[in-house]
Amino acid sequence: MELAVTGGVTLLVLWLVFYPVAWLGWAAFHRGAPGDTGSWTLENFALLADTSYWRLVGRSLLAGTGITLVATLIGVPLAWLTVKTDMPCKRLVELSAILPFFTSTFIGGLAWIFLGNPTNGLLKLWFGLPVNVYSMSGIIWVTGIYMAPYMFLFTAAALRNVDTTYEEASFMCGGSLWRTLTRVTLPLILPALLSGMSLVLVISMGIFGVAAILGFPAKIILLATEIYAKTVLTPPNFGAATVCGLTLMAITAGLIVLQRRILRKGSYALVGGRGFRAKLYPLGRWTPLALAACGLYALLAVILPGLVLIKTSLQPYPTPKFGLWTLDNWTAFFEKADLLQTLLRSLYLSTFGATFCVVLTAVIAYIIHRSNAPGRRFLEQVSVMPIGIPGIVMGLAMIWAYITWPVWGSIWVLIIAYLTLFMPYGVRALGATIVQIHPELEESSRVHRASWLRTFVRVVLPLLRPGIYSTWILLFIIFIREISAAVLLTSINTRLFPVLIFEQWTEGYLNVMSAGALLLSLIMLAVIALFKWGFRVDLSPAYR
Amino acid sequence: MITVENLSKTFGEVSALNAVSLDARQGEMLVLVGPSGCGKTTCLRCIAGLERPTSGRIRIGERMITAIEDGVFVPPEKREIGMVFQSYAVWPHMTVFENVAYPLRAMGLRGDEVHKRVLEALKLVQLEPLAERYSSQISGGQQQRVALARSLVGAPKLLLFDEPLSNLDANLRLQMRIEIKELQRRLGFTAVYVTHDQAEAMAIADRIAIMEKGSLRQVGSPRDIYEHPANTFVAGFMGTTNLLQGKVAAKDGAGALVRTASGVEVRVALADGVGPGDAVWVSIRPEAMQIRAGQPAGANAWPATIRIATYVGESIIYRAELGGLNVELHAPPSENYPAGAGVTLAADPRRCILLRE
Repeated sequence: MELAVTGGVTLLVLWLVFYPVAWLGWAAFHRGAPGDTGSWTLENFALLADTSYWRLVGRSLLAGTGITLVATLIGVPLAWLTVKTDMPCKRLVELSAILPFFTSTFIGGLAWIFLGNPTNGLLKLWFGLPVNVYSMSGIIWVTGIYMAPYMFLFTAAALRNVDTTYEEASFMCGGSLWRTLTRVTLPLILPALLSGMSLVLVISMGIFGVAAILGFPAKIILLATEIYAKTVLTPPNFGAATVCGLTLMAITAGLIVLQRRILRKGSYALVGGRGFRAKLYPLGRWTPLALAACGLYALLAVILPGLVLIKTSLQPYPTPKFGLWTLDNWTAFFEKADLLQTLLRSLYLSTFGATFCVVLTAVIAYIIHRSNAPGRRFLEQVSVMPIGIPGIVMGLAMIWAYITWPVWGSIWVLIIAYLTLFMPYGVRALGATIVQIHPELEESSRVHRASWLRTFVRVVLPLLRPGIYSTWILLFIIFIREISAAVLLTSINTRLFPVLIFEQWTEGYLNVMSAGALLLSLIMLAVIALFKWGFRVDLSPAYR
Repeated sequence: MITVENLSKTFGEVSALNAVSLDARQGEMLVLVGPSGCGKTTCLRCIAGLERPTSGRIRIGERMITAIEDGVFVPPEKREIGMVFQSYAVWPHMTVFENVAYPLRAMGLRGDEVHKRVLEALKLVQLEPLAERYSSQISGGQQQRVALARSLVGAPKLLLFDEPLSNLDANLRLQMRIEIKELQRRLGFTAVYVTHDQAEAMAIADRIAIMEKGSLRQVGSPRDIYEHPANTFVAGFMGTTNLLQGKVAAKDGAGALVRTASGVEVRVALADGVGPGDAVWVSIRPEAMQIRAGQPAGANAWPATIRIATYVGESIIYRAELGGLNVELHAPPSENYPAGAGVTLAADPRRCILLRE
């Protein structure tokens, strides 16, 4: 039984991950569009001889590195302030640092267009700031502030694990705060920091939404947006798109390998094992400055973008002025059948998709951590591989792989793509919960006459329940806001809400789509609130 | 009742069990004891079916439950056993009643039958009033009893205990030790019990099996093992002992004479299988040595100097120097010798045990 389930799941995961990727590899060497049986060729790779192609790759790497640096420079100090110092209002600061994690870089990007566009951006008109988000630095800045929560969460978790006595020992030896930070604290969390940074870099390299809305007007093309342009815009060039996809995937997969290596080499035994109350560093007269810095981040990442979206969503056309208030943009979503339908479709996909994904990843995580089945390490490696596959590349690969299948053109293609792409998040989050369940609780069930299956249903599942709820929410939110994979896979009948926002936005319906972006954020917040306060679920396993 | 034959288990390159053979008779409490990493828990887990041995056979009664060479490996749930775990493993999402009912439900029993048997089992461990509590609402000792009731409720052929008392505080441990023993006497179940605590093993066992480095070193009654250890490891592990290394100087009908390198001569009463010149050890328990004032006279009496005297209430523990060796002995507190005093130590040759390894 155990073996059969393990074998079946491994085959399914192998299929999900490698079938589309293999098609992508096949496509690179063939002529024609997806669905054709094109003839063998090497001409797709002629692109590689082009210097403009390598400039494109360099630009993408620059953007990714820049985003990672911005995210690190914001996330790490915020984490240190909240975990290690006596700064007041910590709950509020933590909330403002996590909130952007639960919304989306795409929505943040839309809001920042109103704040920082070069002609009538509010920052320019109201404060005279010469900002222009339609630029490379704009892409880096906007994406960076919305990736900062990842660095915040990584760093905060690592800092919480550092036994305070290491730092106290440094102070006792006469080390100053600066010396302690640079010689003790930072080296201790460095592996976690580097691994977080490489993950952020991977995600940034594959980011589509912001790169498109900020990059297209300025003709700044990155690998992710190039794939979109070559696939969707006429005339399509699938060969070039495929080569771009493979390049992007080679970079991200390489980074993931690097990240694994860092983690393996540098796992310090940080936890002291005693129930210690961390001594907090007194900020003293620096408190106002620290609070101001945190406040500035909240202002730039949450408050200003939120307010500007609210303002715009209540006005008939983009304007820096106040007034002309109207609710038309909001009522549009309930009056126009296609808008409402798209919203419902997204809810439906996210609900079922997250549920499938939780079930699948619960079984995978259980096999990885608790069975003796041979091949479980292999299953682990394959199931977390999609972390290194950017969404847009997955979308392109799915076109090649499934265009001749009957599921093509239905919502199931999207569910399959999401299931594959976000499987690693479920495997991680549920794995963290499973390892906390004492193995003897299961062994005791087996010894007392319950089969493997009965043990899973009666003992493991009930004990996993909190982890399952929080993982489900995490996946629901990731699913409902996802745009990179969806943008290539949706047709008129399977349009998803974020894609709708993107397409209508580029056609100029800015105010209606401001309402749409807010609506999407509100749905995500409502789901979180429902689970947190309605069902009293502890959400921390999902992101810690 | 339970028979283990040539059980071996390797984890990669590491050998955890080397061809261990054991048996426990009907109604017997067999205790596996040894230092950590000796393979006792691996052995128990192989019996439970939680671990698949690399080779060997295990039978419960006439029923073969593991015979790796013949491809037989009965899964844990079909072995009809009960087990008490170190962590108790009382499921936190079920009440005490549901925990104990679990094996019965898994056997397919329903309704009144389950109710009756669960209450019987809870009565055995005096937990009836707590049937509707959750594990977070009861103490560690009570969880231990729930685990015990759960292991007994299905009327298993064999009970397994994996260091069941190691998470309890000292007093409760002594009390539970007696309760488990009494329960076993009353119900007559067969059990294999793993512990690293030699005092617990002595107190609870009908027979003890001592393991070291994956192999069995000696099997016997507690008295047997304490008084006639098979080797220096067993002598040292089961209680405190003084080990004197030397060579057999002479052998006769009344035993043998062993001389240490520093010239101390010890007479031993039993000296089977050794001859003059053989390198041997002599084990003398601290309580087998007497202490008195004055000069030594006769066999097995040696001059010694007291180094440290520690008063521990029921006795005084002396550490003394005897012919260049440090020895420990326990004497009644009525006699009192200060550190530095010259004394005579003596031991009955019948309580000086000759060991060959």
